[in-house]
Amino acid sequence: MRSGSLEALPRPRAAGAAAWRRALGALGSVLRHDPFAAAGICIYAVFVLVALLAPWIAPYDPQQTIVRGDDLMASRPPGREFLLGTTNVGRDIFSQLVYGARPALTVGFAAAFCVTLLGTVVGIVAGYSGGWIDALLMRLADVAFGIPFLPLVIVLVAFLGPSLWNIVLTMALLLWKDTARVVRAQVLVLRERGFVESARVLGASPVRVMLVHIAPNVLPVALLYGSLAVGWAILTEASVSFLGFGDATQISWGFMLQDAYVSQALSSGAYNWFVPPGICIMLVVMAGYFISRGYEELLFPRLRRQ
Amino acid sequence: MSLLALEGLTVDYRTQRGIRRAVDGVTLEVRPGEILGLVGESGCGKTTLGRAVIRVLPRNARIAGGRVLFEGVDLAALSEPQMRAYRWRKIAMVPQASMDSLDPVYRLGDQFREVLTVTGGLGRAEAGERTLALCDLVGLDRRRLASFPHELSGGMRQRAAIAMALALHPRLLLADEPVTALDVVVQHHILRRLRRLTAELDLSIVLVTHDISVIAQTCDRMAVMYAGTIAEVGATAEVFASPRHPYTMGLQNSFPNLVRPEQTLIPIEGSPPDLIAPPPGCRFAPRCPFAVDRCREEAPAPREIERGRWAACHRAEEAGELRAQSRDARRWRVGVR
Amino acid sequence: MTAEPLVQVEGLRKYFPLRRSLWRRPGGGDYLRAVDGVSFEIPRGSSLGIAGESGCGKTTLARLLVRLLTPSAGRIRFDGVDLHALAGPRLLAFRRRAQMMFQNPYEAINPRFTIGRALLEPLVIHRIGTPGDRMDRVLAALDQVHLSPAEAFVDAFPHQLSGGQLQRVGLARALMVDPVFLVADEPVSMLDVSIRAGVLNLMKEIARTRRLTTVYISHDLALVRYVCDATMIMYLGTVAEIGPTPEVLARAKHPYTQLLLAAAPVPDPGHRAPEIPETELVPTPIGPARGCPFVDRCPHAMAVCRAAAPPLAAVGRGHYAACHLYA
Repeated sequence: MRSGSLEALPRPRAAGAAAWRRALGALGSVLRHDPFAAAGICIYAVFVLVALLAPWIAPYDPQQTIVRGDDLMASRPPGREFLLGTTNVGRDIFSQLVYGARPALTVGFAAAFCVTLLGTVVGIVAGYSGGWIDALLMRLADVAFGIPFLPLVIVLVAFLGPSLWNIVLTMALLLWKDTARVVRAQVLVLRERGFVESARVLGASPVRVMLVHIAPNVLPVALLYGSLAVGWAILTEASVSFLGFGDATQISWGFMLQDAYVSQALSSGAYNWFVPPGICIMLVVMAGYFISRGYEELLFPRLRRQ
Repeated sequence: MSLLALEGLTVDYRTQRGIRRAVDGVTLEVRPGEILGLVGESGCGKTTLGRAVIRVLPRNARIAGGRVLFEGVDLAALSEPQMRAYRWRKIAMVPQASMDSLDPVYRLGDQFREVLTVTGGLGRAEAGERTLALCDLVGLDRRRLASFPHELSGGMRQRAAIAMALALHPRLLLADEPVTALDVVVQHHILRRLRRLTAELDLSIVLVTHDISVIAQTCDRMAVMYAGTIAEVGATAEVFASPRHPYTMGLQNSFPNLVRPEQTLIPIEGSPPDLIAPPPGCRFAPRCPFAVDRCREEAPAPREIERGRWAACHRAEEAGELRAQSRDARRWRVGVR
Repeated sequence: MTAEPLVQVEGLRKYFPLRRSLWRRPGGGDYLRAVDGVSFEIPRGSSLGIAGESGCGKTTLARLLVRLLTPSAGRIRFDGVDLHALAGPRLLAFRRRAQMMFQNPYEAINPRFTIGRALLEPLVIHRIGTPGDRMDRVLAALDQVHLSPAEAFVDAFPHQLSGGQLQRVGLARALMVDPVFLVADEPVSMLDVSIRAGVLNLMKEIARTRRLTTVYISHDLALVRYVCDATMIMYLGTVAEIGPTPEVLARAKHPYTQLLLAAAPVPDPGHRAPEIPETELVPTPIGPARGCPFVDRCPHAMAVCRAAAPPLAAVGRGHYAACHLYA
């Protein structure tokens, strides 16, 4: 061997496996040292399972008005038959709660996916292209920053019609800006790095540089902002539904709250009706935040020691 | 009588893979009023050695053995408060990249006053006078005291950093790569200044560098470090004229000389050993063209070959013959042979 | 040599606008004049060293030569064609002929790529070879830069290699497209001294056997002398002196070259460097240009030096200096 030893090199496949093991190990250690992130992941896991298995978990159809004989099972207190009681028109609250996990998680993950995708693409294109493209995209981001969030969602949903996907769409239209800005800042740094310049000298097209050399390096940060968007999206969906602009054909936690509100469940002391969906929303949003925080520490380990 | 004497100094770093012995049993002295050059490649332990003397090591490092005798007192055995009485007052340091360590939001003069009054315990007027004297000492234009660091060139900032280190009349200055990243003209002036300071202030300097040309033009004596150990020590002129350690010969072979007629540069093939699990025997043996079986089995202890000339090589006595062979590039292709 | 030079640079300028000029626009003072009117030629098969202090514009010039930057004025003709006018497939063709080695070997290879993938990339971009034989080319390239056994390096990641090994990979990557022109920007300044010679010798050997035209950027005149046929000294974005290397170094004409040579560190304790007067000047390429850029540091400064910029004047065979002393 003429130019130094390579004895320290692990075998190629082992190198890949080692990288995975390191990544998983780091994840494991964060979970062990960060009980919040661990709790967040458990909460998500439970809700995802509930959403997937809703038809088997829920004892009733959430829309069904339950009638026993001639009796409408309205405003029943929690008990053996109805775990969390029933609404004033005789629907099973527990079943509603179980089915409510579906729109919450759908909106959350779909919005997070769209936000990450849009924000990353805009951030990379703006940061790498520079010039007027960058100026245009960043002015658009400024505009998005200036628009009050909830009112616009309401207007758009009212305009486009109440559906989950319209909520996801408006979220994506408004929340991409944070991801885009952070990604752009990263790209500005990456653009000057040797390996990007080296790829340019070799004749790599801008698309190739962005896809092959820049995107994999900004993805972790983009995912961090995406994970923050999950909580936001769930909260927004709940707010919109609570305000009565939601999709009335689909039971969601926000819809449950609104239903309880207009049925004066608060004044009649039907805590079993409005407290559980509130707790669920809170749990999911909190869990999202905990996971983001843990993930952030994984990305920027220096934060951990401060 | 030496000002500073290191006796078997050993420094360990705790790392994820295990203990890394960055400095391994170094014995070395610094005499009053001299500049001692400490030369070696990245990772050879030269910076760690300097930092161990005034005990400003990273948290995962510790002095694992040996003594650091400064004016007869073992600094390694002092408590932290006792040590503070030595730092900066008796032993000052110009750390690597110190020119970037000035606070960007304060004027240079204010930074001087701050350290002189707060840390140095001087009165305001006295601090002002001292500041001006320090500027003259390092050749920094007094008007520059009104400037912010970003308005100064790298050379001026380096001069300011040296002035700051000299503020409390230390006996020993540890300068870590003081001219790296500076342009040659500025480098030339700063090295001249350092030379003059030793005479004017009765100061000793340990100059840590990777550049043997800096050593050649500045230092009275030099120590060559390799992989945590001292390979060779001696008067600069003697070491350059007749190196005793093959590593020193290799360094000379690989360094271009603008003044001498052109000759082919010969690299030292391979790279330094992993200090977490170094090979048995001489650390340099795997790259050494003259290694014999004994070199791979038994680590050579530093020996005084002639007066003031120390070398850690089993074949130091044959150095004359080895030097002749060392000009042959083929000999250095160790792995191919 | 009868053929026209591979590279002809004429009146090349690169100004970088300073941020504050966005708000007020006084007459041209708010630019950093990194390269300020540079003309020279590089004959085929020769090597040109570009030396100067930090901030003299040598790295900017290197990046202009491989079209990582576009000039503000002037032009570069590569093989007779204006580099700035190239686009699309012709630019891609140029990229295949001109390559670069970067200063920081730890940065020049994508840390997520294996060495093998990094070396395959140029082949994929330029559609060289068939997917089947590309790996053979990669192994051959590794072998050529003396990284052996090549198979052991193919699956390694950059962080597993030493600086010297990585710089060899950088050279191999540049050679994958079989270029005729290689620009090396301080390729050994971040390497350990004992490793440098190996990389330099390899570059010299490859440039000779492949008849490459090379540009070597360095602040170290000793290294330039070791590698280059011709030497160009830059000062504040301009050419101070240019000529055959032995000529420029042995019979330096420009006071700046003389200053650099006097201050150059020599690894010889017997060498007595001449006294150089200390100046506190911070030369800056910002603000209006008038006269000779070196005038404030020059021991021979005359009235004319402040009034007019000196042109490059012949001071020997193929040897030019921009100084009023010889104009």
